[in-house]
Order: sequence, then C-alpha cells, then structure tokens
Amino acid sequence: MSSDTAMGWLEIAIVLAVTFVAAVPLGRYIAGVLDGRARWLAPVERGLLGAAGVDPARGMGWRGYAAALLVLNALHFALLYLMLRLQSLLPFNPDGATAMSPRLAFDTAISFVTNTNWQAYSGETAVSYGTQMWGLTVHNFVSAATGIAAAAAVARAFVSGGVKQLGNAWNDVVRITLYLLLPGALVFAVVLLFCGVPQTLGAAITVHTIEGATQTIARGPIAFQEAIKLFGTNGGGFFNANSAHPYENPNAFSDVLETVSEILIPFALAIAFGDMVRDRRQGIALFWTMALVLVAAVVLANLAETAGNPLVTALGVDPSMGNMEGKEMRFGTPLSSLFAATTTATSDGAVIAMHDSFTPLGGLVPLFLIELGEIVPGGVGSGLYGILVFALLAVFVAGLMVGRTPEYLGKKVEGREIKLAMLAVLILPLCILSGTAISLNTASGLGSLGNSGPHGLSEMLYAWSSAAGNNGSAFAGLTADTTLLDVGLGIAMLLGRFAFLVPVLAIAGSIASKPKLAPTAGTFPTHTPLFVGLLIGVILILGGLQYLPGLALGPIAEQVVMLAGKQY
Amino acid sequence: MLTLLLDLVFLVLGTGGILLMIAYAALCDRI
Repeated sequence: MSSDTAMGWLEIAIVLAVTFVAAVPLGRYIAGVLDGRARWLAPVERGLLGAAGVDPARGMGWRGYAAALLVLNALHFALLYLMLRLQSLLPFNPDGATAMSPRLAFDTAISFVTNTNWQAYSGETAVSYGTQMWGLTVHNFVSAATGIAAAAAVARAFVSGGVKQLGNAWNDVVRITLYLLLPGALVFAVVLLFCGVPQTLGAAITVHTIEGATQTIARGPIAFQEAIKLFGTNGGGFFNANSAHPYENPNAFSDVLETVSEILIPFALAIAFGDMVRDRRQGIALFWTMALVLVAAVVLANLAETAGNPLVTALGVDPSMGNMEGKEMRFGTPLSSLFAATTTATSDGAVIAMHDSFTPLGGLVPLFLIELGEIVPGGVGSGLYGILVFALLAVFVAGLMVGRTPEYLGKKVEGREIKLAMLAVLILPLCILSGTAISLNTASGLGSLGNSGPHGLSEMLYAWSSAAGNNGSAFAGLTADTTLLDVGLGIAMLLGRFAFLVPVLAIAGSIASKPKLAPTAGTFPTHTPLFVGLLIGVILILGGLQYLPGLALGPIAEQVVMLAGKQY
Repeated sequence: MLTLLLDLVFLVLGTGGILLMIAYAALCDRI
C-alpha cells in the first residue's frame, strides 16, 4: 500500500473516530434537552413559548403531536413558496434574482420543508440573499427540529408504560432549536468563517483577470447557511456546486469539520435514545449498527474510487490518485469517498464531489445507502425513528423464528405495530421504483438523462431514491428542472417524509399505551452483538433487497461493462 | 393569469398534501 493510500485511510479513520467519540457527550446533552433537564436558556424559552401561548406541560397524544408537526410544516411550505415566487420584491437582492417559476418553487419549497434540499436550480443566480437567509436557512432549522422532535416522541413511547402522551410538539421544536441547533450552528459558522467561508451581504464582485478578461465572483451570507446545512443534515448549498465550491468548503480542514458535523447529531441521537429509555446499552446497540454499516460503506466506496477507472487508465492517465473525475484536488479521493458515504448514510445530500462521476461501484454505495432508508445513521431524528422501525421488525422476525411474542424494551410488538411499520417501510420503494419506472417510460424523463445505458438508469433511480429518501444529492448529469421531475419528485419528497412519519408516530402512540414488562428468561436481548447482527441483516434484506433488480441493471451492469472494456 | 392559477395549484398541492397526512393519521389510527 502506497503512503498516499495509507494516508487516505488514516484520514477516514480519524474523521470517523472523532465523530464517534464526540457523539457520546453530545448524545447525553441531547437527552437532557429532550427530557427537559437542560435549562440554561430558560428565560428565552419561557418568553418564546409564552408569546406563542404554549403550555409546555400540556402533553399531546400521537395524533395531536403529528398534527402539530404537519401544520407547522404546511405553513412553512406556503411561506417558503411565496418567498421564492416574490423574491424579486423582497429586500437583500443585490444581484437582482427574479421570481422562481411556480413548479420550481413548489419543488424547492417541498424539498426544504422535508429536509431533502433537492436543488434543481443554481443558488448563486436563482435565489436572492433574502430568500437564502429567511427562506432556505430558516427552513433548514425547522425541518431539522421537526425530525428530532418526532424522534423524541417515538423515544418517549419506550420509556414507561400505559401513557397516552408523547410530549408537547411546540415545546420540543422550540427547545431543540434553542438548545441544540442554534448554538451548534452558530459555533460551527464562526469556525467556518475562520476557515475562509464568506458571510457578506455585498453583491457579487467583478474582477479583472491578468489576461484582461472580467469575471463575476458570486458570494453572499454563506457561513451560517453552510453550518446548519450540515449540522441539521439538510444539504442545500448556497452554490450549485455545493460543498465542492471553495466558498462553501475552502480546505481539507473545513471538509473534515463538515463531514463530522453532518453525522454527529444522528449518531448522538442513538446515544440519547439509550439515556432516555434508561438503558444505555440499547443506544449503544443502535450506535454500533449504524457505525458498522457506515464503515463498510465507506470502505467499499474508497476501494472503488481508489481503484479508478481502467478505461481512463488505459488512456495514459496517472492512476495513483484513483478516480479524480468530478473531485476537488484539495480533498482527493479518500475524503470524497468518505463524504459521499456519510452524506447519503444521513439524509444530508451535500456533495464535495460529483456522484455522477464516481465509478459504478463507487456510485452504488451512496445510492444503496439512500435506498436502505437513510437510517445508518440517517437524518437528524429521521434516522433514529427509522432504525427503531427496523428494530421492531427485527424482534418480530426473531420472535417468528423462536415462536415467542416479540417485544422491544419491555413493550410487546403485536400485529398493529407491524402493519404500521410495513406501511412506513413500503412508502420508499413505492415512490422510488414506480417513480423511476414512470419517468423512464416518458419522453420527458428520457430527455432529462445525461447518459445512456446503465448509467442513465442509475441517474433516474438515484433521483427518485434521493427524493423519496429525503436526501437531496443527485447524479448531476440529470436535467431535473422539468415539469415531470419538479412535480413528481416534489410529491415523492412529501410522501417520503410525512407518509413515513405518520405511521411511525402511530406506532409510538400504540407502544406508549402498552404496559412495560420486566425482562424474563425468554426475553430476546436487544443490546447484544447478536441483535446488532440481526438488525443489520433485516436492514440489508428488508430495506435493500427490493432494489436489487434496479441496482443490477444500473451500477452493477455498468461495473461489469467497464471491466469488460466497453462503454456507452 | 395562468401564472396565478399555477401558484394556486402548487400552493394547494403542497399545503394540502402535507395537511392530507392528518387524514392519513386518522386512517392509521383505525388499523
């Protein structure tokens, strides 16, 4: 192994190690926020809740909790849509961005509200500073807080027995934003400023190059948006090139921080879950499940990208840095492979390299991670409640195998919970597979493809996976701003977020009302390596197997063809 | 006029689509 390759693996190991270590104290802190123990901003919190007329002690049942989150998001969708349509009339528009088209505004508003941040536009030309700040950045906070609040409600269902209430949604959203997202984003933004990320309301500047030409350099209020973009696993960048742009991600140090930032809260929430249910081993089991799958994905992606493209190597291109197409020199292959895996293992979707340029197996990794349901570790909140659904399915499978009533954390898992779990789990393949199939059978869908053959199939499959999985990254060769994709992907994002969330909260309501049983000799332990292995197996088989035909016709076929020396 | 109509359509689609999930919750409650 060359020293460069070894250094690349070391970079990856350091980033993951820092994240795993930092997730533990952050997880304990998050548990304190969700349990109400963190009170250092109590006067501000009381003021905000008082102004809104919210009694934080008033608990909500699962339907009330769901309704509150849905109304909040529906109002925010309308607000963001109007902002995007009226941005030419709003202040802080020094570069004269015009109104977004109705279908693109719909697609964009839905995507930011659902934590997807799918961007079928170039931020530096299509969106004003005011919209970036008050529209997109604000919704980065709201969507992240929504996810974590929902996860808190689900976690509370396992704490004790015979309860009907899952907390107060308004109180949770305010506390999560005040105690976690705002301080974290603020600190991260200041660090990014020192790294060289701009934060200015000045218009784009015109420079004169040494060749005598003129060049317009876009800039804007980037640092704060960049911070919450990653910290809240949103992913929507200020620029079209996202975190590959030097103003969003100037150097390797900022990249390491951004990578850590996007997976930190999701891993920390697993630890927080253990604290909340008063059995840290449960949180650690979920943590290990997430970590093992993520590490395997990172290893596969880096191996594939480091091996490079033999067809390109045959043309005389130096293979020592691996597949550098679509990658930034300041990051190289290892950090790019790591980011591609972490951004799709969470629901972030930011990119530092173009996934469309990855090798077939390298591109398969982010695609498959999204299709697993983004639960290893997943988005902020959505990862935790997603993996808990699979935990219920895992104990159900174990119960079937040994002929015992399945139970998880002292709560019996019965027919109702499994039916609701399947309603949740099946929404993703419904959207992904049918959306891809419909698109590829229309002229509009085929016209959007940037490539033919298996890679073209991968582009469309990735788009629908990214939308339904609320990821937001793309194989960038796809022309996404068409009526079919703007409207279709918007609906997929909506269903992938809220049609998954509602049955999950219903499960929480059902579980919360059940009595909490003490473990017996026959209880299947859910904190052991055996359970971790079973959970990983259930995730891979139940979550991943249904996409095997699409993957076989897309990236796997492309890999075989590439190795055979052919191209499309 | 067409643009205004499209705005209305998309506002209803987005807001209504999210709020429709409240009805979906009622359906889930009956399972």
